[in-house]
Amino acid sequence: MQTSPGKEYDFVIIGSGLGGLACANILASEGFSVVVLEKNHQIGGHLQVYSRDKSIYDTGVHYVGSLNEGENLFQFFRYFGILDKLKIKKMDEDRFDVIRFDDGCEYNYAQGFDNFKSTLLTYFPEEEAAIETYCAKILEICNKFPLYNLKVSGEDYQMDGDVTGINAHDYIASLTENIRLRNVLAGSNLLYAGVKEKTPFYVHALIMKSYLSGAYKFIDGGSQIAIQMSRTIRQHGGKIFKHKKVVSAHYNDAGEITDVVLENGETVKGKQFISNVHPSVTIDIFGHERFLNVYKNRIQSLENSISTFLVHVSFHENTFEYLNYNIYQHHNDDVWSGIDYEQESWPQTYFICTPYISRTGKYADSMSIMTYMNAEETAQWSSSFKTVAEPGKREADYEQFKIEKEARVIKRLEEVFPGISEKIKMVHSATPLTFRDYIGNRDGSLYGVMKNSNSPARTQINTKTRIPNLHLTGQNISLHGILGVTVSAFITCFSFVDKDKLVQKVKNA
Amino acid sequence: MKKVDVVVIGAGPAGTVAASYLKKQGYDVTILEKEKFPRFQIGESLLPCCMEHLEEAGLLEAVKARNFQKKTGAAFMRGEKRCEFFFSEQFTDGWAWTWQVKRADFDSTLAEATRAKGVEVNFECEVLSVTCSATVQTLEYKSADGNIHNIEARFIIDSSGYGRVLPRLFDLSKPSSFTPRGAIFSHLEDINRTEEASNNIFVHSFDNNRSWIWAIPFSDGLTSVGIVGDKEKIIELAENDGEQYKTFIREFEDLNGRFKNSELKFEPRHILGYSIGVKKMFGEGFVLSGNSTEFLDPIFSSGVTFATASGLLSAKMTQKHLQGEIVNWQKDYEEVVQGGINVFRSYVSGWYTGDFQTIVFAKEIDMEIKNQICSVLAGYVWDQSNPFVKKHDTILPTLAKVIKMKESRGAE
Repeated sequence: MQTSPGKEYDFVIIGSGLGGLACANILASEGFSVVVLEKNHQIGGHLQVYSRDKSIYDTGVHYVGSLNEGENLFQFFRYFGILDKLKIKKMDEDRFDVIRFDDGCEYNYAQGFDNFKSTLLTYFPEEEAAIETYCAKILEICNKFPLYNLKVSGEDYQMDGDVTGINAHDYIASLTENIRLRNVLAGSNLLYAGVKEKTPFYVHALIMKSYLSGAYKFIDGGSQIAIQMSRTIRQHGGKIFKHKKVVSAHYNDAGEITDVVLENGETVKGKQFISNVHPSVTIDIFGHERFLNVYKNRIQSLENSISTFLVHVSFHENTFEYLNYNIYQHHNDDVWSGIDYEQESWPQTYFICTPYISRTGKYADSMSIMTYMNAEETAQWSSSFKTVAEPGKREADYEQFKIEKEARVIKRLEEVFPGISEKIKMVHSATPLTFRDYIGNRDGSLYGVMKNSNSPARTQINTKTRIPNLHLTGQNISLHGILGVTVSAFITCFSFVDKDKLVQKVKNA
Repeated sequence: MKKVDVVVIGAGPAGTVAASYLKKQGYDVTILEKEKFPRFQIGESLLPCCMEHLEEAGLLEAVKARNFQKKTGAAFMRGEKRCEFFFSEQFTDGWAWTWQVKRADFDSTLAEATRAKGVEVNFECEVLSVTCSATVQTLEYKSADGNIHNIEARFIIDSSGYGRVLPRLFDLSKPSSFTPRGAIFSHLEDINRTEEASNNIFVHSFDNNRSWIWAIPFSDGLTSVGIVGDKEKIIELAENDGEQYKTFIREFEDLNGRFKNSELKFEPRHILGYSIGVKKMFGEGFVLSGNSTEFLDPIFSSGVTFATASGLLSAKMTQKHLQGEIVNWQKDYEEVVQGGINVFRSYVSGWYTGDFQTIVFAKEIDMEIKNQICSVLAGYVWDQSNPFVKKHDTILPTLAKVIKMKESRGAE
């Protein structure tokens, strides 16, 4: 067989979500030749933004934690060479999140564990023991995840010990009989699409700790992470190409991938391949016959976390003041029940935030309201497909559906901010289908495979696959979110780079 | 007699780039242009590489202000097959876009911007005779009023393009080894322009790779449509005011009726046997740049880029010369320019043998190879780290052979 003269990359990375970009950044700076292939017109996966009528909207990242000096994400970003370039704004020290209930009561989350505790004590003076235990447990659990503490210890980087079986709802309920306190502690569970019977406490703990260690917003949108990452990758000689949808692969006799095939007939050769695409879709791309049935069945039967309905409103100029905090609004008595909604009372739980836009400063340019939505609700239009890269058309009744749902959300919003409708200039929204098409998973799932405290091992996905040179990365490996995905990328790269040295580099960054 | 540092013959892209560059270095430059601008010219599709030259000559901003049609790539078609290159995906680190221009507007813009820099740009001045020596060059020219003038210069840059002023006067022309071909073209209304067709040049190959059509959209809604083929074929298409040309572009299947009812903005024009070379590109007191050196073929839109590249390089060498340095014109000018021409010559040959088409229309194409070819198509033909530049003379036939073998094996 004659070989054609095209270049063989050390690493071909499929998907430019943060996981793909982080792997590219790590590997390119280690001197490997790297190419990232992105199907969309914009890189970044959940970091993608879009603009309507001059306003910029985030789709996935509304705020980020662990950015105080010396914290884990701070170090990771410094290692990536992007920390100084990011435009970030620290959220209110004494309330970065507000948990708000139907009775109008508001509970502030303050930054830093001490501040967090003392603020909670003002609402629940008799619950000091529960609050103390809760915070201590978070720290204890987080300590069992070495990478989150920039440590290398033990063989298994994904999970450590018996912690993965603890259920978040049950644990919090065990701390106190005070229902309101339980609800307040779990009040931001939209961050991980918490499910009462399933969500492990470690998921809750890692995420809570992260935000308590420095909560920030990205000024003018979260896409800057992707943009800065891509610059560093290019500086290290890595390449990133858009409009490159990988559809299949070629194999050699040893069962190794030789090259991937793109939709337009181009092929890309590589020694190693990293998929930053959902594992189920990865199996579709690389060929069902290449995977063991038992693996395939497990992966494809894993339940994905729920999808979302994301409403963006833009305001008339200087009418709505910027909020340097987020609101988690619950219209029901149990913060775990909003995910399992009834049509009549939807939306019961939602997240409200105003992006910080330098141009409008003191006033908010827009607001994002994010609530749960099952993919079944938009299933009837699921045969349509539409992204900027691949324009298509959806039916008029789909548009009608969106308009109705938007109206429901705005009506709810009026309860939180009376008179807000007057200030709204434009409303638009993203549905599970939007997320499916831009993220490239099957159901628009927000956070990928749902972690389950009942069978933690089942939802664990190894970075290695049966194909010797195919590896996985992304939110399904360790955890979702900026920090979770970054950690996942390091786990993926430990297969290629000495982990002790790599972690040392992060610490020294 | 008027004395200047440099006389540039011709106010096209090569001449204006050379003149602007030298003016920027503080030299006294005069341009003698035979025509009155604006004047029609073909060569309407630029390559990204020329942006660097325009920038270095200080002409880029003036062109930007004209809002010409942005060009981000090029699409090649043959029947059902289609291969689109995007300059953002190229191997060489370079410009990702350029323009498609009506040359009348583009060249006028360059000339006006050059004049604004303090270069004397004289239109309708035809050079009649030239005397060269090591230090003093004299030119005799006729101005618009019919008067004869003399001008003395320390050096001459001939950017006269098809006018071939010095090659004619000094007998420097050399016939081309290419099959004599011709082109017939006009500007058409393009109301059926599709979204995907709106930006970039489209090239349709037909007639077993012997002929092709260009469609170059402009920002004003018009599109330049030309047919290139063997000389005989073009003569046939041009007969009776281009009757067959008109029928062809209206009926040609691969254009899908894009120009079915389009109005022509002028009667089709044609040129024949445009390929020509030179024996040498420099001599005592003068250098040739742009199309007055060698012109190959319009297929890869390389004309303007060669003009600006050689215009800029000739100006840089001239500056050295004027500073009293010994310039190795052979090595530092002619071989560099010729090197670029030779790369394109391989691709032009590869186009008419069909090797280029075999590669780009293959069922599968290595992305990296495509990106390397893309850099050649973007005009970066001096990047020796690109194997499709370095091994230009062998790589297309070799690769085409591999692909043919693979595809015939696949068909079995």
